[in-house]
Amino acid sequence: MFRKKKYSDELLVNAIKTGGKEEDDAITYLIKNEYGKIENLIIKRNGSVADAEDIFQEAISVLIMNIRNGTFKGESSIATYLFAICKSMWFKRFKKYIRETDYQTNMIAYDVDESTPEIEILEDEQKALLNELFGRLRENCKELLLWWGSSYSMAEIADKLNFSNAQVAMNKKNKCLSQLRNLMDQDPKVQMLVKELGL
Amino acid sequence: MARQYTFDQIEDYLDGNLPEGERLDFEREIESDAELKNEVSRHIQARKLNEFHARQQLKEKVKNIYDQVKAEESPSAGFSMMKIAAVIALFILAGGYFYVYQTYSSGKMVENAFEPYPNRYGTMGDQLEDTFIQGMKYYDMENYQKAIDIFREIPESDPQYVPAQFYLGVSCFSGDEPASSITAFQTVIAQDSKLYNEAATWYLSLALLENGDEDKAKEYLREIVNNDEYRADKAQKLLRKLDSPLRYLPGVD
Repeated sequence: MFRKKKYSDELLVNAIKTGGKEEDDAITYLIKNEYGKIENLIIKRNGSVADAEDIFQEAISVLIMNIRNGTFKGESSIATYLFAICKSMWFKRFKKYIRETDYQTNMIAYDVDESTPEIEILEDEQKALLNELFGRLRENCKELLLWWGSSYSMAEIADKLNFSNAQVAMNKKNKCLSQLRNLMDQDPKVQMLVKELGL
Repeated sequence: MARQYTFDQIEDYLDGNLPEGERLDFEREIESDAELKNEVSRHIQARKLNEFHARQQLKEKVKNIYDQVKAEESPSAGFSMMKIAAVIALFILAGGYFYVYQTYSSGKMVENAFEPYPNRYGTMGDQLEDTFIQGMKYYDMENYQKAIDIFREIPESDPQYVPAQFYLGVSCFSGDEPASSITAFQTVIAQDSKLYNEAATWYLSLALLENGDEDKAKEYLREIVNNDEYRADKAQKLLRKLDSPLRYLPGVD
């Protein structure tokens, strides 16, 4: 009777691989349908709504990257996979908090997946510096490096940017990366940032 | 550097595009040539910084979409939506009787206002034995009849009784059993559940409307609006529609 549009996992994967508006709609769908479970999980485990929002947004980013680079192989449903990423991230953060506050607790030993990234929080100044650095790249380089850094294959990048083949995309990527590296070398603040970020 | 490597050759190595023999030679040279090692490290740094930047861009995008979704769900967004609804109502007055029917017949109003409550519980492997979670699995699959059967099995003594009654109500409503859903939502409200009381009130008002008890439904809708509860924006919109003179056009209700 009251059916709303529902994405299958296959549709979600395709939308994320396509990018653009289709990806935005897929993200909107995930937020509307999966956030409640994550908020419930984190609040039940001593977190706040702000924690839940942080973790959920980070986990969506990880999910998207893992779909694009093929790490997500569809062995579990997307909802289960996303839930597992959030659970792992939350326990990682919670353990760190416990360590930092030296708080004695009878916490259950949760199995934390060490490969799950921690949340990267950038200061405003660092963000501005990073944006300024990439802003100095030529427009076509900015776009190409963004696709490449977002785990799209050279064939997909060639398709998106209308290059004749993957090899052309690869050659352009090398030129753009060389440009980025030169800019990094010229700016001591960027070198400091790289160290601060532990890259 | 004993041998000069071009930028592209170093990238070929890092991209995994060198043939096996060349890759092994290259790795031996890295170990013995500090200058080459340093050069490769700088490549890696640039690549990592680029990946980091791309991740940041993606996170910004996700955050923006998240904020937008939440803003649309807020009461103030609902108010804007009501203004749009008012414009649409004027358009309807000018012409489309069919559209009036679609918008103002109580059945259509309920259909437009209703959407299933999201699953707030995981259906992870370690909980599969849990009856409630089994019910939620069917709920997720929109197999409401199965979900109803399972939720009805959960006794009052079970800690999941209130959420089970709540999702039973939503499932009954989705499965065209408004009378049963009224009983389930009244049970939830009687338990005064912090988590489900407000949502149960919203769904109860829809179920009453669907069941033809418009006066009682309006009482609950006013309560939701006055207390700024869950779906206050939608409740206000519904009340406006319910009180609209367009409803008295022949054949609308």
